[in-house]
Amino acid sequence: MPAVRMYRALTRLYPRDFRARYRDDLVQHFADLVDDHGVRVAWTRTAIDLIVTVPRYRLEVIMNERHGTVTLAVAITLLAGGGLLSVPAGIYPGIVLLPLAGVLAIGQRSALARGRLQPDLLRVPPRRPYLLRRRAPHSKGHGRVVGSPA
Amino acid sequence: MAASDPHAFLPLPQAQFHVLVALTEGERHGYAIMQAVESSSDGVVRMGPATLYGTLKRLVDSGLAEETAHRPADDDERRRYYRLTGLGRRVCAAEADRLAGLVRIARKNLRPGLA
Repeated sequence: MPAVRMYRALTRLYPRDFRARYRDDLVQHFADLVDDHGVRVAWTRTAIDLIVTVPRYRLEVIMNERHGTVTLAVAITLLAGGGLLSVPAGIYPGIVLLPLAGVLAIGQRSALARGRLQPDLLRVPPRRPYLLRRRAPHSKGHGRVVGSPA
Repeated sequence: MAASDPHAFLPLPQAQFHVLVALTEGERHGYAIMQAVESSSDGVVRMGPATLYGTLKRLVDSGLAEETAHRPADDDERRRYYRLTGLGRRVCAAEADRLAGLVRIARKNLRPGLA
């Protein structure tokens, strides 16, 4: 079915981990939608879903613990700077970089609040090796204790 | 606060709560969960495929739901079925109590004579 094949291709837009885990389920779900409601309704629902979830899940990958706050701050500054400079340079579509920087900044702030990111100042390797322990499995949060090896 | 404390998960995002409520009725695969959510909300809540599976991923990763090994003989064996964990059931109940409390307060404040 062409619609299902097209949706399968579009699932490549999702982050690799999510795709690896749920691609077949997503495609099956879309095929069920087509069977039950027809191609038009299936696409209407799924297009909105794609528009909302692709940037969101991509952003979550950027916000994961592998990225330090300094890296993100540099990215936000570059995006905001590029957006601001695009106006005097006459590249008006470049203004979209500003809201993108805003979204990234808000995401970074909420990731910090949820403890998924650690401020880089706290990433200094600890002097005492006994601090290099994994978090207890029952503790809340993701990832390891600050300074633990990758 | 330990992660096994149901109140540590509150307030639950709306999508997660809807999925947990759908799973209180038994094991379901993704599409059946979507149908249950849509039906129980009278069509108001419609979850797209990625929203649903993103929500399921969060629930499974946080230990509120789990995949089952069980596959009904009359269904496509490629489908994955999900069910609530004990923690998921407690979290769902705690969120329902929280929302009920909010509704009670709202009704009391909006219509003092009827509370």
